[in-house]
Amino acid sequence: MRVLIGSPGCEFLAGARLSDLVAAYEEKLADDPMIKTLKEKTGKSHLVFIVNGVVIKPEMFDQIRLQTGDDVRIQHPYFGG
Amino acid sequence: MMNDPNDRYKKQIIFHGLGAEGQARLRASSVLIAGVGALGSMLGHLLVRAGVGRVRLVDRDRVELGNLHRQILFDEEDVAQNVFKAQAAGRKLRMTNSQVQIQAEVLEISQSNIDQLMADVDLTLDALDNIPTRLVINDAALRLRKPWIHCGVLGSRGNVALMIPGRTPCLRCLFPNVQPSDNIPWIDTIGILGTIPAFAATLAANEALKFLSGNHAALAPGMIQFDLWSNEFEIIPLQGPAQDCVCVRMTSAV
Repeated sequence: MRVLIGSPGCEFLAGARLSDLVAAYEEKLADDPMIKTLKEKTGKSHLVFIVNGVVIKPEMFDQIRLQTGDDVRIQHPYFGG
Repeated sequence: MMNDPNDRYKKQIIFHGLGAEGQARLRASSVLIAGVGALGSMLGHLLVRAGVGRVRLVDRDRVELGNLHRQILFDEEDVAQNVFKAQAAGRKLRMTNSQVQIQAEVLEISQSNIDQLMADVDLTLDALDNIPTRLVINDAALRLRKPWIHCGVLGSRGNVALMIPGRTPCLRCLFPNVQPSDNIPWIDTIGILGTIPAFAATLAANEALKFLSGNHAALAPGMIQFDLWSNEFEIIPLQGPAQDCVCVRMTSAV
């Protein structure tokens, strides 16, 4: 029996890299008004990807292979006040 | 007949996490609220009512009609009088709790004044509306080794994170690719619901009360992030500072 607590997680093929997850997530948010506006205004989504508590810089996305049980969080930029 | 000053706080003193000792610590503590817009209004409202001993409010802007849907310390009379936000907020907060020392300053936070503004307070609360000034606070916090709480909102979303130099990630760790040049008029461009800064500031004020009262074990273990429109709330667990971040060098220097 598998009990899900909190996030249900997401399936990726063995050997998937963080860049695959980033691409899938950014595609999912392609129509998000905030992300679209940020891309238009600044040229980037400003999304930050955190793997097991560590902020990963974009240049590392293709070097990190996802492992079963990895905790990936996506931090959005909110700089209004 | 004068009431016992502690009558004001008796309901929160009863709360197990605070008690009389925690209340005394709040009274002995001081904060800087950087920016007195939507976040800053709510932060001031909550922290002054809670009995934080000294509250410094800093903002350069005047109250405008478009502020009123979310900036709870201001009203139509303030718009008509074209008053500065810091002054209007200071006046209302003094009426709210005369036991608190309120220091209201009309000025623009910059590299040249931030150290002086932060040096004599226990905690700084980021209630700003732009990236460059947040980076000014971040870097001053590292120099002075002073804790601060980042708080930002947009649309229906927001995040809150306590930053302790040398122990937690700094703003540059958390947003490694954000540059001052990325600054846009965030809320003017994307919009904001009035509920969002109120909620974010409540979370930030709550973390501030834990921190200032010495309840550090109760602090959120990471960055709080929420979207009230899609009913999402999470705490993103974070390890310490990024090893290649400038904050590591700044906080390890003797």
